[in-house]
Amino acid sequence: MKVSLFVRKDSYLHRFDPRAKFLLMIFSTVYLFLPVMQPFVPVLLASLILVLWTSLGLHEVLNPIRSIWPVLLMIALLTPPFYADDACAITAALLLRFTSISYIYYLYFRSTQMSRIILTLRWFGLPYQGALVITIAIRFIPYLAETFHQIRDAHKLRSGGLEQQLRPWKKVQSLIPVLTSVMIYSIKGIPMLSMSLEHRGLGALSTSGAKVERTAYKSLRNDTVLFTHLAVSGMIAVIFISLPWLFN
Amino acid sequence: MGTNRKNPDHPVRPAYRISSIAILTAVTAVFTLLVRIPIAPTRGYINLGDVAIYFVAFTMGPVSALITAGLGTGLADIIAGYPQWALISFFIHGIQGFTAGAIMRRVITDTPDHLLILPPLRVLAAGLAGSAIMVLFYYLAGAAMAGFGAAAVEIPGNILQNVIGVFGGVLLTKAVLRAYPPVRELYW
Repeated sequence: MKVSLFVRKDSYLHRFDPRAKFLLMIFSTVYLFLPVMQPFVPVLLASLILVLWTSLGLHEVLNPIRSIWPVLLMIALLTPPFYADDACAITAALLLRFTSISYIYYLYFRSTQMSRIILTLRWFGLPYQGALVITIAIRFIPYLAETFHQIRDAHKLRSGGLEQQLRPWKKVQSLIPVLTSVMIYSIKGIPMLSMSLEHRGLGALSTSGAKVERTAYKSLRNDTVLFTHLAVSGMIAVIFISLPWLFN
Repeated sequence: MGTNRKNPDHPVRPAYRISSIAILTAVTAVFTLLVRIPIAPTRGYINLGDVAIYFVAFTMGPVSALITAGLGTGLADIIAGYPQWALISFFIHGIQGFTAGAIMRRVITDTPDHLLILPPLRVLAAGLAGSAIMVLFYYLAGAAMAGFGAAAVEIPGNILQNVIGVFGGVLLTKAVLRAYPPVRELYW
């Protein structure tokens, strides 16, 4: 089971500093909601598609659309009745906004490893314990997913697959024994994990009673590459912000 | 440092907190990703992530529910290929779990071990408040991203998912309490 959208490549987007990408992602999201920038959302969307195409390949361009097309269809069908005037313009703006948001986040998570995202969040101030929770949770998801499948298969041997014919509520009821087993199995693992974390020194105190940090995350480097990438990100942001003045 | 209600002299260690939140975050993500019930009329799915959210809210308290619900559903959105919803899910499900947990506060630890009855009025209040927050905030977030019309389509599915989440959460809590009573020790 894959626990991220990341795909390994050696593109310029992959090499771009995750902190600079993170800031650009936040900037782009805010940009989409600024009323004065609405005429320039198509430019942003075209830029996003171009970046996706040149960094990840043409076959990746349609991937976000495949997952959001039902929402786009709903926007196209259900937005016009809400607006008497400018229904077409508002519908088009919403279609562009939702598509752009989907591309922004797809680009970020497709080109950034989960471990780098956690280090980025650490750099922006996420506490050590918060990062540890996310790391452990990500490691446990495939393991618990496998456990869930094993327990469900074991229960199916007893039900003979008859739960497939049940109504939704009965299906939920039939799933409760499986969910109970998975939950108890997971909860029983907490003391073991807790013990192994303590063996690695988590929560340890020195003889003076002060906290001892015995495990640590690596830090992303603050070097010229970061400075350059932040400068490039800043320039991109300035160009997009100045579009209304450039075209007036 | 917090204390365990069942044994106030025993401090809840940081490693224990981290382990319990991390594992239940993973469980919430797995319930969201893997357990899907098809809804015939729309050919869509509802997930059982809310069952895990209400279970954590009932058994572990509001703070645990805030973190596990937010992180679990956010991670599930990223893994499932809907990263644009991850941040929204993080906040909305986090608040949903916190609210339900705050209303059900200490019910598990204050109920005698031989009783497996969750007070129905508090369950109802927790379920209604959690559901209202989830449905309303998803509608508002969806409206900001995709417009009021498209966001309104999600309302019936979200209500159904919450109804199943609350009832499933109660059934799961009672089943786990019956099969594994030490689960009460998780509350902090």
